[in-house]
Amino acid sequence: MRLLITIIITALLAWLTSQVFAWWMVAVIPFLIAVVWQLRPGWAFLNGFISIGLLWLCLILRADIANEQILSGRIAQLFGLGHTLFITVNILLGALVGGLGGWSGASMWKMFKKNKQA
Amino acid sequence: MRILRAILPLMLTAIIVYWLNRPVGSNPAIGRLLDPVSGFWANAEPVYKDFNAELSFDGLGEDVQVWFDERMVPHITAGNDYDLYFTQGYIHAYFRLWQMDLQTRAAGGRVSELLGERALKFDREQRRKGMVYGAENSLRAMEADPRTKTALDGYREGVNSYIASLEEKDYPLEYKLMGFAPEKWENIRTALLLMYMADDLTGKVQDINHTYYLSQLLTAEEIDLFFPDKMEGSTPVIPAGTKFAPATMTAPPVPQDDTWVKLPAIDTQHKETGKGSNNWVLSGNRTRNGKPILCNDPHLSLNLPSLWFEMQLTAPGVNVYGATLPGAPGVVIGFNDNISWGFTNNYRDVKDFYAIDVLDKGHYRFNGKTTAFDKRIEVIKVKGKPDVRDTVNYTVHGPVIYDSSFVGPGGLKVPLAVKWMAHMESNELMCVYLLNRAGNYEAFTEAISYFLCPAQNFIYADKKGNIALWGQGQYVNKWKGQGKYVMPGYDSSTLWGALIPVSENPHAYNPEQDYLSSANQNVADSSYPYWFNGDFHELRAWRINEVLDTMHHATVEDMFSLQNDEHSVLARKITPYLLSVIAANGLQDEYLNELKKWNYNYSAESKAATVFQVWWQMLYTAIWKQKLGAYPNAIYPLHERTMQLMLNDKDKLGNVDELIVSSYHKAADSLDKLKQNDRAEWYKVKNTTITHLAKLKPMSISGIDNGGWGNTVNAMKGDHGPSWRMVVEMKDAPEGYGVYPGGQSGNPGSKYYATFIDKWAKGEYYRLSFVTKGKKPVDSAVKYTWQLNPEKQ
Repeated sequence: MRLLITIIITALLAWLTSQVFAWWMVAVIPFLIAVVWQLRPGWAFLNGFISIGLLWLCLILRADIANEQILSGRIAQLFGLGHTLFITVNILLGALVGGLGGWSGASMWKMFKKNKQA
Repeated sequence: MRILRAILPLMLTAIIVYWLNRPVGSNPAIGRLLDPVSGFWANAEPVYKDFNAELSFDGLGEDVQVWFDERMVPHITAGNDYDLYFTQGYIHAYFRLWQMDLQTRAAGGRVSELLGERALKFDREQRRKGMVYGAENSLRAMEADPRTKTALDGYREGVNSYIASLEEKDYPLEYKLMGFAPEKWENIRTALLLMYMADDLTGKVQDINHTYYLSQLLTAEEIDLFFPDKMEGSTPVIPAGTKFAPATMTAPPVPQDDTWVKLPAIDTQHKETGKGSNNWVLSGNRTRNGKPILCNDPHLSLNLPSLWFEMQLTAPGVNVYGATLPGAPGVVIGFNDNISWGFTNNYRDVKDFYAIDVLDKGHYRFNGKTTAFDKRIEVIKVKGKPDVRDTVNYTVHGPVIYDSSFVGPGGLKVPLAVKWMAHMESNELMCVYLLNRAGNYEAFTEAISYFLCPAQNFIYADKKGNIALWGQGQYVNKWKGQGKYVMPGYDSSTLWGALIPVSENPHAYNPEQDYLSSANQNVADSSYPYWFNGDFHELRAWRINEVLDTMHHATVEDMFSLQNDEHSVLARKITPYLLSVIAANGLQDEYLNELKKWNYNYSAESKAATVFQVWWQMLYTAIWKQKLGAYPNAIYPLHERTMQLMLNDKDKLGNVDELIVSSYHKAADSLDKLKQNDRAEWYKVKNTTITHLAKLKPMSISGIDNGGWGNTVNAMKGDHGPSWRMVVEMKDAPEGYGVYPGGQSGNPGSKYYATFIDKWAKGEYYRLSFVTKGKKPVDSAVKYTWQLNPEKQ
């Protein structure tokens, strides 16, 4: 339950900040969430991966369906990929960056905490 | 160790994000591109997007209304000229910003700043041939007239209002793919666009190649035989028999000294001449409705986004519909309530070369005197590298285009200056402005008198039933032969002489034959009193004139079929001869049987057309390789001239009959391969492709199923073809039909990107939604509306 809430909050914040700042807010937000909520590395990765993956999935599907795949079909060809594979890769890329951001955040707070204890 | 383990994920993330955030070579930054918020996904235009809008601008003087029809053609109604062109600029930018930006940067030699060093040669050549210099001169003329200045200024502010409204995520897709940003529009960009057209249409002349031939290979007589100034049987633009007024000037004397310079070179630059156009007009005596019908189809490179954009412009004193050029105000080809007009390229030679006697870096000899170059420093920005500075030396003739620091075709190092009409101060935009408002023949002739370069054959029809055709441009009173070859530029004897008054340009008005036509053929027969030469083509004109000659009670449908006519006069005249030579050699096979049954039409599914074309191309190449073989990429004489020589004067060409047989054997091998690969149909061999301006394959459309070829009226080649087909019947309310190979939107993510291509390929037309003066569009025609308001201060 807690993970679900974290995921929703992460995705929401990542979406809002991406409107204003660069695309790599999808790494920064999971990072910050992991630090603030002191998520463990595994959970932090999962949180980033799932939240950003879901966010990109929703945004991409919404745009692609409304566009009837006119543009994604052409861009997929530029990358030399089939349409479905291209969309999957596109979403996984966001998810991966989100996951890595979360994992980095978790490692950081752990390091500082351990340093403090030591 | 523990710290390392803690920092490792952060480092990994940072590296990946960094890598995804930066362009690699000419590839875009993947992360930025794939970002669903600001990346390419932002350009995925919803298919059901509601384009209705209400906008405010502080630049506008009054309210402006725009309505879009179902093909997204905007119809602007404004209260004054400034607001009209402001809105046109805004709309051009809204649909075609990247294209306008790229084409005008390219015209001005600024591609290196986008693509890096590999574009440097291109940019230097653009600068050295005086593209920017010519644009600056034209701009001066355009800004000197308050009417064209208002148009330019309004247009510029409209474009810039659109650019100012953009965030990075709103940039057209290609900016994201190529990694650059829109730049504020300036009036010089419009001037550069017009230079781009002038270069496209008058820039490639044969002078240098012919000088090579004359220097090393052919006699002047042979050149006249192979490349005649006037071809036998030409049906000129201004019909034979037209009475020309006597010249007001006498021809200058031919200089006593050499009139051409020897050029040593080993190679010439091969450029397939592919550009042509057709236009014709029938008077009411030849049409079913008794009203003139005017037709035009300019042939240009087939690109997406298309060069053209359809619009209707309405303001006090103007109500015009037609094809506009994104980057320039006004309607270029079209019609209004009273007249219609169109044009084809005129191809009279208005670009000559002079050899320069260079003394040192700063000086050359002219009339025996040491003369200083006017130096113009061209600064070229190069992506990822320091700026390149190129000094271009201007002489009394014009800029030195080639010299040892920038060699010409074939390693040419002789310093050559170029004298080009496009460098002259002229206001072609004024012609567009006045044509849009012209109501009768007098207003039409006044309008076109401003059109100096690139020279065009302007065709005209009006509601009262008048028709006309003008070979319009600014020309020089030349001595016979002047500028055919590279001239010595050492003294005044070879300078360009006086300008011929444009009123003396060849023209025809309401001729007895009741029709007029042009298709890039010779402009006038030898009864025209001034000498000229040019790069003329006759084949399409022969076909158009033979069809129109016998046409009566014509309808717009007859015009559609003539614009889409695929009949080859070349094939009809030469095939029987080829077959007779083959028969004498006892050859017989399926390909030859196809040819015997052929109707000489290059139709899409025709296999005979493939047989003929493959064979003819091999034969043509073999004949000229034998004659001009010393030049690896020689410019060959015209196909129609080759045909004439084969039929009437074949001894001049060598062993033609042997070549016919040997090239047939070669052709048969190629045809076997095509057959094995299921590519025997003509459209598959031709493979008409409309290429995206950045040469991106997925944004291009290839393998278009259509017929035609460069020597047929439907001049549909592999990458060139009819770029805007228009037919206008001059009824009381003019009825226009048109189609172009593209769509109104330049965005590959829009459903309006390539909308018209299917219809264009099939030879079908749209009824153009022109609304006559004072009328309102029917409600069902209006798909979207824009209301533009002046911002209240």
